[in-house]
Amino acid sequence: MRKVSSWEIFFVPLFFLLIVYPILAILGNVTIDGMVNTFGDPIFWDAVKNTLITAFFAALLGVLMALGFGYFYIFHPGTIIYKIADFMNDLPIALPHTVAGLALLLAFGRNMFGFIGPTGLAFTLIAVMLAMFFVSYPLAARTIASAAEEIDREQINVARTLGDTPPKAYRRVVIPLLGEAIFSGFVLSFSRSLSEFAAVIMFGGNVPGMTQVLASYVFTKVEEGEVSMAVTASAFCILLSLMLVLILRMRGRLHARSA
Amino acid sequence: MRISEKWCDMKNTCRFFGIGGVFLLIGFLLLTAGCTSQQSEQKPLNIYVAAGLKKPMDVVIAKYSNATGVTVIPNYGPSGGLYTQISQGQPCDLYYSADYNLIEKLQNEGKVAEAEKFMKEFVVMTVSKTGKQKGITTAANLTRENIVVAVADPSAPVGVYSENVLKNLGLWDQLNAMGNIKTRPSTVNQVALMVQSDEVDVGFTYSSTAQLYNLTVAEKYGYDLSEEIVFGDAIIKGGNEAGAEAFRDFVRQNSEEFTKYGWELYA
Repeated sequence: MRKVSSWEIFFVPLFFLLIVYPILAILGNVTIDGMVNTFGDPIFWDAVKNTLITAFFAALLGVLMALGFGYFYIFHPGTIIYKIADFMNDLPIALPHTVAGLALLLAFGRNMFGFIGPTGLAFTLIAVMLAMFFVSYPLAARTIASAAEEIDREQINVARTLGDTPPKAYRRVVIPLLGEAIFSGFVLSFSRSLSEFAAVIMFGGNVPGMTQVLASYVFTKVEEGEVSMAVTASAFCILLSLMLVLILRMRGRLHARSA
Repeated sequence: MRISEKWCDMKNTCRFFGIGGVFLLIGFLLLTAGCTSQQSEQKPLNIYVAAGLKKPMDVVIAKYSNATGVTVIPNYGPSGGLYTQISQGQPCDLYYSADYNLIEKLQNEGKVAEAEKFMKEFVVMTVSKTGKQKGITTAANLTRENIVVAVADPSAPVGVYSENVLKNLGLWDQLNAMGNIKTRPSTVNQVALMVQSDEVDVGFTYSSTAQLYNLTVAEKYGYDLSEEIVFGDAIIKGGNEAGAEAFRDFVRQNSEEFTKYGWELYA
């Protein structure tokens, strides 16, 4: 038997008490009644559909933007743009999310973007997607940047001396090497998008059946005092997130085997 | 070999005690936290207050603390959320709800020591700058093309009351079919903010909220349309009941702080 360090003694009980136990508490409180009511609620399935679609596109946009950030990180880390982008990466994480929602509403609402429609970009599925993107992009950018750091500069330099322009070297050398990070960046920002509700309620509209997402559905049910439905919907969220984590893990194992 | 086995056993015992130790430590911390709050001479008062009452309530709390030296800890939030917290057993001494039904729900759960109806409130239709330009003066105008309406989410009582008004006026289904209700914010304050910043044409709020945010009121609805809207207070069982009663009476004596924003006393 191996030696047990004091770190393990510190970590194991707190991990189970503070992380695993609350999740089990949700799953343990699911009732048949709650399941019947929730899964029989068409609004719930609309919320699931809206969430999956908008979170998918938010994550897609997040990864594309993160790749753009990675380009600056590798080729132009001295520029002002890079420094601003790097600094701003922390902001959406630190910002209270109702503030983020209000900021987006004032920026893309009809006072500024009225030429698009009667509400500007606000209160549409695009708004939901933008709110999710706003809070999840930094995670993708972080993932891409830390993976880009690992890349051997020699390989990029070789490509450059062989005549590749920076964009070409980025596309042909860097992006293939980032493969795994792109995938985890996508899953990370997708999962972060699933859990966002404050910004989504404020800017997205939160109209049941139209622009409501799963997280705000749960929030609404809690506030309405419909605890059994809230618990069921939360358990659904947890299973969905666990599935994502599993996909991430399996994908990582396959990658390790093929490497 | 044997020595190392014994060493392992010792290690396992150590781990066992270590794990137990951490749990004991946590338990101890929780207990001491509980004790200190009970030992202090003037017990602090935990009050849960509907978010809409924040402005006048802050004033009354400051007055009360000055006069008596009691620390009052307010927790402002949507009434429904506060209800869930109390129902799940979070420590609360006094609850101010924007929806008397929630107090009745707590009474059925056996959580309430004493409850009473406090103030009357009304639903109003407020119009923004653009809403005025579009000539919206009454709810019947809302079914025109391209009108942007904000109705609070049913998680906030004002959302339910506004729905009642629109349903009783026979406009609700039509508005939903047209998609004119573009947003369901989670609090009455968010609705007011959207009207104030002209992001929507029309928003349904309380009469007091409209006054607090300086909004233009187009229509005020009676209880025949919205249902009776009564703000209530409830002393919660098992907490600092005497302190809660004293504070509740103080609030009653200072009701002009509330009535100046448009609330009316219930009786």
